[in-house]
Order: sequence, then structure tokens, then C-alpha cells
Amino acid sequence: MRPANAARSITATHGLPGKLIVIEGIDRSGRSTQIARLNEWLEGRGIPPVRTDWSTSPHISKAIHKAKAEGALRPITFSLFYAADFADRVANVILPALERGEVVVADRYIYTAFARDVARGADRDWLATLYRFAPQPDVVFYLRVPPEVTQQRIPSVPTKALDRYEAGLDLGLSADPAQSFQLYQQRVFDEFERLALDHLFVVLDGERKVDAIGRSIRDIVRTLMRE
Amino acid sequence: MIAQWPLSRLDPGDPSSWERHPFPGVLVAVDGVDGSGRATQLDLLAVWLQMHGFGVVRSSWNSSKLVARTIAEARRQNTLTPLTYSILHATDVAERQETEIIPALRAGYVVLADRYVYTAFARDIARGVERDWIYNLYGFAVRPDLAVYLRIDADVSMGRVMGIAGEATAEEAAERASVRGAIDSFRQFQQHVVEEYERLVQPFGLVSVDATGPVRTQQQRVRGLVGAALDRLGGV
Repeated sequence: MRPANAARSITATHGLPGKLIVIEGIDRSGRSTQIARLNEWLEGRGIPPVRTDWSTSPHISKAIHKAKAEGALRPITFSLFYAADFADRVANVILPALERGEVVVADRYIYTAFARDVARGADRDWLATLYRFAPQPDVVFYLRVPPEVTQQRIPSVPTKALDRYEAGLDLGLSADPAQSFQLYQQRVFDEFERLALDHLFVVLDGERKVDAIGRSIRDIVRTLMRE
Repeated sequence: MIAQWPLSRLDPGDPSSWERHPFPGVLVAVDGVDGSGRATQLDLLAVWLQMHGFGVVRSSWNSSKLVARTIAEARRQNTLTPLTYSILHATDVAERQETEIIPALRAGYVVLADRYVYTAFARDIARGVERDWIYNLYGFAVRPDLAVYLRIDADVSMGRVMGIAGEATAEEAAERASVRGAIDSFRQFQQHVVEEYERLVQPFGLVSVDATGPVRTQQQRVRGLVGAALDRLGGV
């Protein structure tokens, strides 16, 4: 039991010996590529990171994926399901690793939940209180790519056409999947812009070359590791 | 336009300001610890309401197809922290609210909730989750028009639950007891849950019904309360 979890405030530093590095960005912003490179680089320096990706807790994520496949998720259920998945990873992956003094690299964090849920109509204060148990990251890298650009990027992994939720089709913004995708991703992007200011993200121009972005990330992580 | 939510956010500092839902139906919540006789009272109440021509929909705690299985699975493996457990139960409530409760209220039914947010508040706070955090968590929930609290103490609860051989509640209780290692610690936990329920009575306006008396007497009381609520709200 870890009842103290709920007491952790987003604004407080986690105060644990490890480091928490978060990489955020909308779909197709190049997150996976940068995370793979960062992990490789950390491993090369003898610091194998603990990875934690959005929606990967053993029991809950399975249920989320199943519900998504059935097209059955409604906004509040959707939001809370992801929060449960995240809480499970905080308790079983993130906090234990930080306590052991390890480096945790998180592919998306609470900000993804904030942006997606606000795009679906959620109240910001409600979300901030809901997620206040999350340990405060040491750094949040934000790969900033406007939706007009991500839309033209071909997914690196050949995916299922357009994910219903990735396209925000559950919101009824437009019956046309391509247009819905654009409108929804724009809403998510706008919220990220706001979060970047409020939460002091390290904003990286995601339209730069992959190598250049990677170098910027490594420079900051290097400094962070010396602290 | 996208609907904003939570609809009527429960203010942790002032639960009495929680607004009523805008639907024509009536939501009745019946809460109480295991062994308080909720199912019996709800069965009798449902029959009585139907006899009087009301449409009745029941919605039970932890029963959504989407979430219940996940909770059961994760619980078997005992990996859930109180916080995760708490959010999962809220997910279940959200799912049932959107698929069962609100559609029924909209259509003018009397919705009988076998346990509602108060059960989550009492249990999860007893497990160490913070009060204002969990009130916020359930900020999306529809406020019941009547919330009945079947009041028994922890000893009566234990006696009844352990005494009912072969029933689901006894099985659940034994499972919980074995997880906690001892019946004693389970009793202590139940005691704590009862205390938390008591603390909700005043701020949330729960109506306490003595659940140690005869089933018939309790049912009379419950019918009286529900009847008054239906009159007050214009009989649906």
C-alpha cells in the first residue's frame, strides 16, 4: 500500500534519487524516434533507463485496447481508464525506479492526458487534481510539430488506417475522418501550447533534422545527470 | 459543440452545493457495508415501485462489462494500490453512468443504485486516499435525489457476512480477509469504513436507516423515503 501517493503534488519535485525524463508530443511528432535514440545513448553510457510508455500497465491497458477496438469508450470513461493505467505505472514502475536511483524515460506523461481530455471537453482543474499524485518530471521535452505537418508524415509503422480516437471521431467534430483528425489534432496541439508555458517544457522544434533534435536532448540530459 | 465535463463538479469544500441533475428521472442510491441488507431492501423496493407503475432500472457497483473484469483480474494478482483501485472504480461508475444511469434518468425511470459514490468515499478514504482528491475524482457523478445509508456496525456486518455460507458476499469477504492476512484486520478495516460512512451522513445529506431491525420495518422506512422523494419531484 502506498497511500501517500495521493499526497504527491505536481508542483513539488519528486525528491527521489532517480531522474524522470519525459518526452511529449502529438501523434507522429517523432517521439518514438527520439526516445529510441536517447535510450540507446543512455545505454551506451552505462545508464540503461527504465522505460515507461503511455498505456502499458499489464491489466488495464489490455482492457483499454479492447474497448478502443470495440469503439466503446466514452470521454469520461476514456479519461479515467487512462488515469488508472497511469496510476498503476506510477506505483509499480516509475516510483520504484526513481527510489532505486534509476533514470526513467517516459514516452508521454500526464500532459498527453491533459491535452487529449481537454480536447474532449474536460475541465482543467478537475484534471490537475486527478493527476496530482504524479511525480514531477526533472525535464519535459516537447517535440513541437504543428498538426498540418504531422498530417503529412507517413506513419513509420504501417498502422491500421486512422485510429478512431487518434482522429477524434468519438467527438463528432466531423463525419469525415481526415477532417476530424485535423480538427482534433489541432485542439490537442493548442492545449499542448498552453501546457508548454504552464509546465516549463523544453520546447524542441520537431521540424528540425532528427540528429539535431537528438543532440539538443542529449545536451540537456547530460547537464541533468551532473546535477 | 463538445460537452464540457464534469457537468456539476462536486466541490470538495462544500458537498452541499453539488447540483441536481437536469433529467426527469429519479436516482436513488442505497449504500452500506457488506451485510447491511442492501440487496434485500432493493429487491423489495423495486417490486413495490413496479407495482405502482414506475419504470425501474438497477445499476450495481462494479458491474460494467468494461471495467469489472479488469478489477477482478488485477485484484487476483494483488498489484493494485488503493489509488489505482479507486480510479478503476470511478471508471466503472463513469461507464455505467453514461450507458445505464443517464439514459434511464433521461427516459424518466427510477434508477436504483446498489452502492454509489459514498461507498467509494468510505472505502477508499479508509484505505488512505485523500478526501478532497476522491471528491474531485467523482466530480463527474450525478447527484442522487435520495441517498439511503443502511446503518449497521462493524461487528454486525462481520457476523452477517461470515455467517452466510456459500454466498458471493461471504466468498468476497473471505478473499479480502485472506489478502489482509487475518480476520481481525478485516474487522478493523470494516470498522474504519463504517466510521467513514458516518462522516458522510451530514455533509451529503444521507438518510440513515437502522439496518439491524426487521427487514419489514426497514422496508417501510425506505418506501416512505422513496415515496416522499417521488412526491417532491413530481412523481416522475
